[in-house]
Amino acid sequence: MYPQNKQRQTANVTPAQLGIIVALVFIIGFVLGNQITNIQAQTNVTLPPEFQPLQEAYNTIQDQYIEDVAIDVLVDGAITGMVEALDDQFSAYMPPEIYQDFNISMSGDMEGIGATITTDDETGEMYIVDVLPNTPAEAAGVQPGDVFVAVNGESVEDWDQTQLVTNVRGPAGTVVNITFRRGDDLIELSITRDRFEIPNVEYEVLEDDIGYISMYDFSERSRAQLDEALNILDVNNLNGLIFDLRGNPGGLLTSAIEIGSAFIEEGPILYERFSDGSEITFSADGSYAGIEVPIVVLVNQGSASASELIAGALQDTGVATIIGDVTFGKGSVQTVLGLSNGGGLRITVARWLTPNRNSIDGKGVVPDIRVPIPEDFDYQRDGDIQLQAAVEFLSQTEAAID
Amino acid sequence: MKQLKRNIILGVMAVNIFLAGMLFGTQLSMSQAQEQAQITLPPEAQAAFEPLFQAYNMIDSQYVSDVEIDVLVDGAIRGMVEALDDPYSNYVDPEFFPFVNNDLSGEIEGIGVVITETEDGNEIEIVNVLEGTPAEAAGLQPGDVFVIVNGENVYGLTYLELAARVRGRAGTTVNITMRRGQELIDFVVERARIEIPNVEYEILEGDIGYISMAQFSSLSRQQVDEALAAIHIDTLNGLIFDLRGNPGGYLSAAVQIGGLFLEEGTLLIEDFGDGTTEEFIIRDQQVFQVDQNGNETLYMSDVTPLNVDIPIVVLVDEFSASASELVAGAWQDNGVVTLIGNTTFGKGTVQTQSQLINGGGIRLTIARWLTPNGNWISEQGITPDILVTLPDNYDIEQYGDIQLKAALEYLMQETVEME
Repeated sequence: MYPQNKQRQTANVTPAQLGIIVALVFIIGFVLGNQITNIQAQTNVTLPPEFQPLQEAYNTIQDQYIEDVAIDVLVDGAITGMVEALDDQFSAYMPPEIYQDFNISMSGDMEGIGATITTDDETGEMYIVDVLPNTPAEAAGVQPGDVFVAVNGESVEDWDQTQLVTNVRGPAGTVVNITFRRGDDLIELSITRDRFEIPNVEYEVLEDDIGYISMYDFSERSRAQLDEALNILDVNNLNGLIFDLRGNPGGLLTSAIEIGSAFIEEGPILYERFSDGSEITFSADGSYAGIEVPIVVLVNQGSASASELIAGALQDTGVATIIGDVTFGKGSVQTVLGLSNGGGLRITVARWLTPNRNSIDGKGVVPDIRVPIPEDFDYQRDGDIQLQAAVEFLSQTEAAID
Repeated sequence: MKQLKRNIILGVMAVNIFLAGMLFGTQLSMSQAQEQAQITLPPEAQAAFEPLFQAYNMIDSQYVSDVEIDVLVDGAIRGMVEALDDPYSNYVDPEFFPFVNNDLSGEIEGIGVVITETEDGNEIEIVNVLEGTPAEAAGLQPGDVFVIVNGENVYGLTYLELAARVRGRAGTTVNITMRRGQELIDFVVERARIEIPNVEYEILEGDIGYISMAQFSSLSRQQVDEALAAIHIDTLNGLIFDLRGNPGGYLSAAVQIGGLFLEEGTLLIEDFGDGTTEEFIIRDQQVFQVDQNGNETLYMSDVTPLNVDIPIVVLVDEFSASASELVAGAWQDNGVVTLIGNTTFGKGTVQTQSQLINGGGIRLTIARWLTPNGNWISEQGITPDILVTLPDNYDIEQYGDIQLKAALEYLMQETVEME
């Protein structure tokens, strides 16, 4: 049996999931380099003289603008504008209220209702893509496809996704009232928020004794969960392993190196190259998991950043066969800095190269066996054709070994 | 004849609030700023700006590519002005600021199209191609959407930023890729000096004079005076002054035009939001500003009235904005004209424009203006004395200009009664 009946069919790319994948790539789709640093004590910071026009503009606004404007609003705007001027989609300023949420989501625990959302490109409507198991959203009967109409009596019409998320999330035990449109009906749900774990690693044994592990992001807990899955599956007594990184948008660089080290015994996993031309080599850290069976890594367009780093490293070192579709193509490393106002700045600090010194930026990792999803693909009818290809490949490999 | 002219005005008006829909107060120069050798933030703001300094230092030391500091400064100023969340306040960077400033001079160097932002605000489309301009010769059409200008993707630019990129010295060329339907079309357009149509006039049936004004520029009052002389206003039975589709312009021009039909009284009250106000009062052909404490200063002299005793109708519509509403409100409150047409746009704020030391400029909303009776017309507009609205999808070429007809009928009756 393929894992078609699992509660979360993250292993399968359906059109709806492509939506969330795109959303996720922008929300957490980056390799975080250095761990988050926070500026605390202030040394006397001064701006270079080139910033005088900004100060002049500030003075002009305070002097002449018809309304009183809170200075924090202007500062947030100025930082946002300065970072936007980099014209880099992976660099962003997070105002204090957003940065708090960001910290929460990187820790792997979240308080909220337990649903993932995306925005319809054409209509601008925001709707539920996935309801996580054992969460308040599931208990309240929220369903994929439900369109947000109002939150706590306020219309969401003019909100963006970040505003929606900010309003829906909240401390465990508090209640949020959400009006959804489902088909032609308006449905009002009162949902009590709770703390839940963001699911990360799932695993099972497929037909022909092939092990299957999927990973949804690269967080601090990922390696421990991977090790647990490998142990419980008893992977070396199986006929092969499928490591599913489809839809995985990335995460922490440290986590990616830990994951890479599970598969690669020694040698470089990646090189980081900085703006001044200097390079850092990140090699396997010696925590090799000793997997002896053939390995397939499944990827698709939603595999970004740290996922591509792993796929690229396993491909270059010949450790695994990559099956699926060409990956997202994000070969840069970001770092996050906490600012003294409680906001945070994420900027691109380096490009990374695979062990063979290839940059996949803008290109993606090309699988050894390409299984693109055809345009007329119907998941219900056709099943997970990429997973099927992986199983077939491993079954043949096994036959050849026998 | 009349229809053709109306079409042009309709085109210009669609630009309304966007291209020139500002009421400009005083023009501030850079002198004030330059006198200070070192511009600094007030002490209370310095701590609040520390996160910006931190962010800059981090970008400077760690960002993967080299970035010009000017690009970061422009971005920061733009972001700060956008944070005001006011559609009438914006920043234009030094490269383009020299070109945005001349909408209201009556002449620009460009290609001769009237533009507007699309509904989502991310794209700019052509609403009108002026006759006899390079744009017409090149084959640009209303509805064409700007995609690329001189190699730069213009998605997300404001109308000001786009206009600044399209404009340039006469004789130079601009490469533009437009989207028309599903097609992308490349144009190479040679820029030229474009005269923006402003005042037009004629004599209508029943010896009624007609003058239309497309915007409030520094030349407007002089052009209107010339038009009044050309139609021999002193020999006519009435006057229709058409401000339909007029999106506004300079405050000083509004005061000059306002004094045409108002000999004595209040023109407007400027309210700066901090308790200070300036009332603009006209008497003896002079305009005075009187502040909230009653202090009076001379604003403008030689503001001559029409001095002809005939009934006057002012035509307005939903695209009459800003300075148009200012004069319509002043005349209505003082009872010197009859307003006919549709309720006006409803823009009751004054902007000013300042050049910064880097050569860029910011436009800021600095005040509300109130009508002489103290009404703020923002969003609600001015309701005409005689409301004549066009039905939805009204075809003016087929059915005629019913607002103009109503004005004529009204003046004929007035004339009969007077006789």
